[in-house]
Amino acid sequence: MKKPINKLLLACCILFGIVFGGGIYTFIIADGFLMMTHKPEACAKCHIMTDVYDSWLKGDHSSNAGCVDCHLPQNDFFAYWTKKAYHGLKHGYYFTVGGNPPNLEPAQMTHEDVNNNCATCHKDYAHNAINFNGEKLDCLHCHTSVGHLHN
Amino acid sequence: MSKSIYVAACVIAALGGVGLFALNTNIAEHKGESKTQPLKTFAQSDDEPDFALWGRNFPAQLDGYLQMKDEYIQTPFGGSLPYSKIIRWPAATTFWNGYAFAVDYSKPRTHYYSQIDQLETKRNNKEFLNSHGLPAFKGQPGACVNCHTGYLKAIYSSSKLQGLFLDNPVESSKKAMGFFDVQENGQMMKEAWTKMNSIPYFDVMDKVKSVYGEGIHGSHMGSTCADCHNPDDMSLRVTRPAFVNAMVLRGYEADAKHGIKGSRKEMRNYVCMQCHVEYYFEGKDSVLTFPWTKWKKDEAFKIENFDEYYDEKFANGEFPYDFINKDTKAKIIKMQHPEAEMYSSSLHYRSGVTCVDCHMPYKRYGANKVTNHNILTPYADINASCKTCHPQSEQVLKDRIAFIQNRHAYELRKCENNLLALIADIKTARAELAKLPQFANLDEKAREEAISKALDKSLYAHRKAQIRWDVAFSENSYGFHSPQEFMRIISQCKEIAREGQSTLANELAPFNVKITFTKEAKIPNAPAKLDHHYPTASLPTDEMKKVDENIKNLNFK
Repeated sequence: MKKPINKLLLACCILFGIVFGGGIYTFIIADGFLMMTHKPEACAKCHIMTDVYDSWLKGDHSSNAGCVDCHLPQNDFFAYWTKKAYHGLKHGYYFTVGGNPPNLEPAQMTHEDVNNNCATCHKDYAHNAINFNGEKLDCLHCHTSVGHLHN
Repeated sequence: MSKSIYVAACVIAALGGVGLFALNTNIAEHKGESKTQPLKTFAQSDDEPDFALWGRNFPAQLDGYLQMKDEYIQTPFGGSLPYSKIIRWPAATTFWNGYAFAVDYSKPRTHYYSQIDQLETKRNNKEFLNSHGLPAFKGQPGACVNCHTGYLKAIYSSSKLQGLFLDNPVESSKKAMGFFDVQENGQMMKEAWTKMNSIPYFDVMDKVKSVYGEGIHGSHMGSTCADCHNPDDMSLRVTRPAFVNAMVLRGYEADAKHGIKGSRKEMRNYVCMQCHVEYYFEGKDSVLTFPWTKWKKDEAFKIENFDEYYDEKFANGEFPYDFINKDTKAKIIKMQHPEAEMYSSSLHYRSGVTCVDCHMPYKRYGANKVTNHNILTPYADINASCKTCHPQSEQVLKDRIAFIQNRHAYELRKCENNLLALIADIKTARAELAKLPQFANLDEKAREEAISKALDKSLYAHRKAQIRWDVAFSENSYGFHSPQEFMRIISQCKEIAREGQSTLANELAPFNVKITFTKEAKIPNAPAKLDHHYPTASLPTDEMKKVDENIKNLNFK
């Protein structure tokens, strides 16, 4: 014997379908899959990053390192993905609701991550400087615009 | 039980759906922003300079412009909060004694109010000034209109207004003027412009009112789009003839379409420099003139360029003075707001930074970068103004501004003391000399002239020192636009004022008059608060008083 169709359940299903479909559509037009990658295009998706992206493209680092190679901690799978999600959601939030300053500034956490990445890649010839007198130097203090101009 | 779960699930899912679609729309909007540029769809011309009409084509710029209506930013010294400067620093009332500035002088508001402020200030109120110690004041000339209306270009060139200024051309319309001499129909424009300069201020504004009505879109409209932009292509242009006339005399080249020939970068200075300058009204036609011929082309301005210029004008009688100080009878030149001159010697200028870079920084408007047309102190948005070049934190940058301005203020107060001392001593000296028989027997006018002649060199010291105090006091950056030139100027002010006292001693010696010279001068009492629409002429705030107190006690970093 067939169970009678629960109309409410059906309505729920339809609604859920709409929501789910809308979600998939939104995810696609927002290039959601791109956000899962390490491609610089993902960051440049928000056009407040256009200037940074353009200057990175013209600089030396663009042939070897993209945004996440410097801005996210490497060699630590867990830290990499949690920070990627954290930054992505935070940037997405401010881009959506507004309130970005005209000139961006790295947060202290990012500053440290970038610095560590400088030291990792350039360790062959930077190891003296980075452990100079036992205190780590701040690469970015002098090399401010080596990755891209600072806005 | 299971039913309520279904319902709850539905409600939550629906809310989620709303959020998702909202996000979807937001994404679509942002994507659209990166594709569209504002299009110019409405015609605009110099006959109709109303910002509301031009702004239809440029909503982002209009938005910024209109924000100026409600901007009252308070900074330690400047900003757009129109507090009374003579209540905050009353020494100025002694220096300007005998001139309208001693009666009413507040910080100006934004460009939105440049006409309204000028209509409301008591400096433009004949009855008020006549009853407040300035009986001879006849009202401001039309020359003052130059930088206070958005209709200037329309006055001298439009079909609607020009005709009202063409009857009985004044004599100065025959003079060569760089700005008009390259224009087609330049002679007619020159006749209209010189006429406007020569007739009373309110007569000019009545003519504007008769064509465009009153109110913010009519005769109350301040500086706006057409003052700096060409209606054909919105390229930058200069519309103030006096600026181009002065620049041509310095060796720059006039241009029929843009007023002056210049790169985009230069134009981003020139549009501001057409008003933010030292100026005076020459001759009986009150021709607006900038005293720039001694300031050589492509050089940084030095304060001595003004001495040389005004000494020459004094000697040939073309412009002896702005007013005579009531206490000393010295013939004084009032400095206006020489931002253009002072900025030319700053490190920022020499590094290629223009006025617009800091006062109208780029702002994101969707995917586009737009020059912010809410023109303000860089304090209003340190991030946009300063951090484009300076990666330091906003606090560090604010501290740097304070570092410069606090030092400027400290030395400026010292300069005020010395100048007040000189004025007090000349006043005493005049009174002592007046008791001597050779002066006492003369009638009042002859006596004053004879005493002024006897104290000739001291009075010149007053004039020369006060030019310096006034530049440092009235220039709108409180030292920031050019810290080193300002320090040079203030140190000269202090020195010339002290030297003036020894000059006075020497001048008194032949008459055997000895007076005790003042070291610490008494600061006059602050004038009473005037009745203006709030916040105009408001009292200095507690924060300002604290800043001044700290500076007095050398309590600053």
